[in-house]
Amino acid sequence: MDYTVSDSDLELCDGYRRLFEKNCTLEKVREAEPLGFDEGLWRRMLEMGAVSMVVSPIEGEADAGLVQSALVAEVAGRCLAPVPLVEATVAARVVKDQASSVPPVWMDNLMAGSPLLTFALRPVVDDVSRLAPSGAVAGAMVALATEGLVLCSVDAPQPSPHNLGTAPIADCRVGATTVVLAAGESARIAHARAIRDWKVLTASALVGLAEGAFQIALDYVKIRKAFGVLIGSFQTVQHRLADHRVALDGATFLCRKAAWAIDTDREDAQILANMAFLYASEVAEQVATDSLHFHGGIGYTMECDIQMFFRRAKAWPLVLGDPQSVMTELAGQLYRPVEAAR
Amino acid sequence: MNFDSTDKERIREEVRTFLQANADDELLGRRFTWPVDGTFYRAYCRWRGDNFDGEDVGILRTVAEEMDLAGIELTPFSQTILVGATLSVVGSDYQKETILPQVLNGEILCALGYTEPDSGSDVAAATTGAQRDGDEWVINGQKIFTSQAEVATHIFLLTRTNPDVPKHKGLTLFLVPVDTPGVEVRELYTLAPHPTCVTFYTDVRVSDEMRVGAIDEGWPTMRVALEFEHYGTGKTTVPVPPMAPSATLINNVHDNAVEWARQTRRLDGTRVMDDPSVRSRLARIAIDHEVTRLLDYRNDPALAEPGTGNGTKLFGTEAYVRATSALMDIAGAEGLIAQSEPTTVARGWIDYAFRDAPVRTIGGGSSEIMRDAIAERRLGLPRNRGK
Repeated sequence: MDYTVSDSDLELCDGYRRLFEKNCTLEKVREAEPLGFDEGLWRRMLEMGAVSMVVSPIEGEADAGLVQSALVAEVAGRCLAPVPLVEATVAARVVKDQASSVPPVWMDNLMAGSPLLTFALRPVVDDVSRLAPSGAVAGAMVALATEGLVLCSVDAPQPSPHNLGTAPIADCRVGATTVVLAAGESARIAHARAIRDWKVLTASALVGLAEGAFQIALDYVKIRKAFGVLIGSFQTVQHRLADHRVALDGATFLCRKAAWAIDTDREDAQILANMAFLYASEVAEQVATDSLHFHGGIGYTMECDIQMFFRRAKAWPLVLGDPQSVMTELAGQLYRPVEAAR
Repeated sequence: MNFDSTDKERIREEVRTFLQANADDELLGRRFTWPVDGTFYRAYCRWRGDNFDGEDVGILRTVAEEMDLAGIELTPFSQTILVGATLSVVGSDYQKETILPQVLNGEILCALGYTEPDSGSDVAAATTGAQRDGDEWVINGQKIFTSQAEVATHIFLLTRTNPDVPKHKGLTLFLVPVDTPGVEVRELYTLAPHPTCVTFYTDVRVSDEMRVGAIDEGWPTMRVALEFEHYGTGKTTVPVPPMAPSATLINNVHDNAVEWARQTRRLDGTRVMDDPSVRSRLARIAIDHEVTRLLDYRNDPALAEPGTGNGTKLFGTEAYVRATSALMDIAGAEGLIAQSEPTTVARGWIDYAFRDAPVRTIGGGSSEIMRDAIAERRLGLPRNRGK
């Protein structure tokens, strides 16, 4: 086994890290609230190939796998980048897989990132997919509808309701232009695969988020004094940080392994994706909660940056729904389905 | 990046073949006791030496994992290897040339004589004294948790050679043959089927050849040994297998519990396995197992920062405790039946593991010591306790 990130992947991540250092400070993240979308930053990421790398524009060059997208999601998550990286990547992967059903104009749009193509997590009911990621800013979506898995324009985008994660989630109505990518069983399978990819990328972003929160907390306990000493000298603070450090290592490896398992078509890819999603969600919430707590009362105020991590740690995975249903799904994959009622 | 572990399949196959030839049913059947058996281990060492020239830690871990799965826990042997690894770093020429080969071929089996009744985690507060007398040293004192001393040939003993300097400065280590006059070994029974030992030292005379490391330099020597013990990837030609194979322990108890839950019906006729709450709790254990295994197998040199080994030990043992508690709950009243009873559930694994788990977060450095080490060495936080 080899956990090392390749030099070319490190280089890829460094490029985004440099971009975010300059253009995605926590101040900028605040400025993008409450919508939670920084169009300028997203444009820069598109120019760098954040989405197009999934379907390589260069003939003969290998497309980026989920590992590459997951590593970029870690970097983006760490600074809470207000961009639709996860959903746009998932949508692009679906389109790539169903390329033969996609009209060239849609393909060109996808490569250019305009209109913004998102991925609807929930099936379309009465022409609407409820609370789709980036639904408030998307011009098109991949969604599971009655006729199958469709690529469609979004009809009159709805504004996003104020929400915990200050994310542009919104109901998405199926627009006039619709292309059926897959129908019947193959539509269901393709949608399930897309959800699987979404889980791994969201988990990777959550690992990044947790790393960001952890670093802020660690820096804070090294300068904040109480009772005449640094609060970072208290054993209860140290031990919780130590536990979180180890859990974060584990979550990082698990997310990368899940992405690798998908790229290499491993049998247990689905299981690993669910594990990564559940574990990263759990760790991110715990790390963000304690990181806020170590700040004391000031951590609870909107002035303090840590609240931005705390809200998103809970909000990002919940866009999919109650995590317990993922646990149930995982148990089904691990232990086979429940016996029929006797 | 490659998380494939099937390259270890060949090794697994070889381990299975070796076990078939060398481990009789009695040994394999003694699942819930420490299977310390000199004959078996010597055979194991010969086989290891013959088959795995230039082996790496990953291979050794796979070997240990496969043995654990067969019910033969290598912990007692691992502590011998860690003494060997320590000798390979700090040993004298004589020790490297004469003792180390005996450690590697299984003639020497070691127990660790660190802890004393009055100083648990504060290892450096040891008071067992060693006084020089010509070419010999005379040792007097007592150690506790000298596990496997009842079968060991040698004890890797931490002594105080200078009581007049700060505690970390006056320590010296020895490799003491257990059959030396004045060494007394007493078994101490534990919650689990495996005992530990108390060892007493009365005017024990040891040759200076058996001193490991310089006089009064015992603490730096201990640091080398502890680094190995805490899954460290210290610089040595002797790869050290994991001391606390938490991933396999979790795996064994989980798999046996799953098998039991599938085969068992409750009074209302429903299968235990079909209870959604049971399934969720089992799946949660499976996640902890996967994470433990990933931490255990990490090999990225960039991640081998100080304190990462402590993290692996901390996480795995704590996860094992969580898992065994949850599985006891799932088994309910049936889970109370001891593994020695024919009616025990999950082939005795749940009862065994629940009793076994608490010591794993204590032995080999308690979880608190692991957390302190991570906080201080990896996170750069100020030391929270006295020297």
